[in-house]
Amino acid sequence: MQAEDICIENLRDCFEGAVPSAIATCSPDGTPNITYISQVQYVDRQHVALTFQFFNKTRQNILANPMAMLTVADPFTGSRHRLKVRYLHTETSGPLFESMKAKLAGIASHTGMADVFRLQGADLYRVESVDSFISQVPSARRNKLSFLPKLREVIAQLNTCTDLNELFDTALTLLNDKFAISHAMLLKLDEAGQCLFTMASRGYETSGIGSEIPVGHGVIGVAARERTPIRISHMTSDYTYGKAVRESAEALGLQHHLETAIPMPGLPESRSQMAVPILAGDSLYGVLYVESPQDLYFSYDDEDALMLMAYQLGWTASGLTCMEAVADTPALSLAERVMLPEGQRLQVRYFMADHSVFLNDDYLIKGVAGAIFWRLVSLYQQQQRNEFTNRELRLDASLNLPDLVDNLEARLVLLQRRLEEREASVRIVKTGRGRFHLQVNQLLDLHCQDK
Amino acid sequence: MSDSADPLISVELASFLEREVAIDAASRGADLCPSSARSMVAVVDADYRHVTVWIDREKSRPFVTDVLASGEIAVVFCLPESERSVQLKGRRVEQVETTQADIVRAERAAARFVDGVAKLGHGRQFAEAYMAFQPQHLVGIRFEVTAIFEQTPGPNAGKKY
Repeated sequence: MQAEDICIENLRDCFEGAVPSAIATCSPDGTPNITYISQVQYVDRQHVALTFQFFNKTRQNILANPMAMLTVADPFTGSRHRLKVRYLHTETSGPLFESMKAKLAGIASHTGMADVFRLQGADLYRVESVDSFISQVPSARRNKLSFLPKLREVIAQLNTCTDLNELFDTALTLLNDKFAISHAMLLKLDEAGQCLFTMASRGYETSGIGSEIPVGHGVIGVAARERTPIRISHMTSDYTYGKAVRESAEALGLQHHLETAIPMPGLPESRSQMAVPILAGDSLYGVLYVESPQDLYFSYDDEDALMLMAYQLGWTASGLTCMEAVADTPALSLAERVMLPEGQRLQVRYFMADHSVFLNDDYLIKGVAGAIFWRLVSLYQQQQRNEFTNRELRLDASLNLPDLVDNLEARLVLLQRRLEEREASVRIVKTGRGRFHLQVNQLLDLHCQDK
Repeated sequence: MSDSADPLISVELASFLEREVAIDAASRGADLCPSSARSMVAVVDADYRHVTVWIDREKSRPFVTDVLASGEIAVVFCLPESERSVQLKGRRVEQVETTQADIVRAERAAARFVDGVAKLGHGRQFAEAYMAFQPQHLVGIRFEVTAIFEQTPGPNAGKKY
């Protein structure tokens, strides 16, 4: 292939980093140089980018003589391709730089090499010709069929969801059914934009709903901060995601701000990971995270598909949130309260310092969701109310919490799920758009502590 | 290089170069455009000054032309299990005849490499295709080693050996 006919789109599997690539350069005095590199970034049909971390011989050479020969291999078939490339320029900001930096930071964060891997620039190269040596080995890549029909079904089904609960569950079910991704979690950005909390998960021993990750840490946190997808296809070391996050947060003195009582879900030996930002216009809604115990499980095509799915998720979630917020709320009829038998009462303890709630001796939740729960049970006890609207909570000055506008609905879903998961005697049951019922099956004793 | 100088290759390094390592070679044309080739196996001469790498010439025609014309070669060796990497620079390049013994050596080296990367989790089919070559196309490129550089990722990468 020459010049204008060049298209390296079908070589994208070669840029996964699973097989080191070799780059040959030549100094002005005619001395060749060759070295192995781990990261070659696919940019578009005719361009690739390499990381510039150190001022090594390869870099000296390409600044003086821009021609290089890049050899890449398909990690499934063993096919090899030699790309004659020309160095164009180095980018130190912008989407390409941020994407490569985020990927490098994501890898570094998990390998404890954050101080070693620091991207100085993304070196952009134009591909001028390709020589291929194709093997007869069939590719073991899954999902080789077109993603478009699956995506069409996924987006159509997400579009029919009528509330956030349904949306999150449908998204995780579709990931499993359509893309064979069985380990996934959905995280929502918090009110302050500082951490992400788990709203829903699938494929783990414990759901981890309510667990938190600081923005900027680990694959999930970096994908959120940079608003770019991060895909790591070949993990060589065992690790526990929650442990890595916790250690990272502790090093920065952030652990007190994190939800620490609920462990992060995660595979004990994750070998492929991908985090994609869920965006709605300029706003970051959250992050969709998927992982697999197999190497090279997620491809560039998966990344494309999940990015499109995440856009739909972001827009649908934002739309549903707005509809809940402005929903007409007809005067509430006080549902008749069921007379509860005397007996052992449920002890509800609320700690104002961090808004944490305990049911008897069991931890339930803290933060915004904890404050909401306390408000609801207080109104239930004092005013004998069990019907509520999202709108009244949003306007409730007594909650005295930071800007809840975007997150109230998400926090209510979180609270609802935590109550269900704990099989608590108090449940939240949605009764209509922007409305819900507090179902209490045991007499309550409320205790509030200042500290 | 005068014969009186100590050889650059140590016994330990020679042993490493002949292990189940990945080997890629580079040269360049008169226009200083680089060319490269995959090598199946390397052999260090008894004088520890010369190295021969065997490549499939049908998959590496530009490289063979360039290296024989320019006399300039660079070869990188990397052991996948440890990522230890070394680069040799060489001159006074010559093509050597391939014997049946060389073919057997190349086949054994390829098989050892396949076993090594399979242990690291790569598919055996992938590895076999990656190392495939046609015995009748095997050609030896012998050169005198003029410099050796450490290339293992880390603070010493790029330093002279």
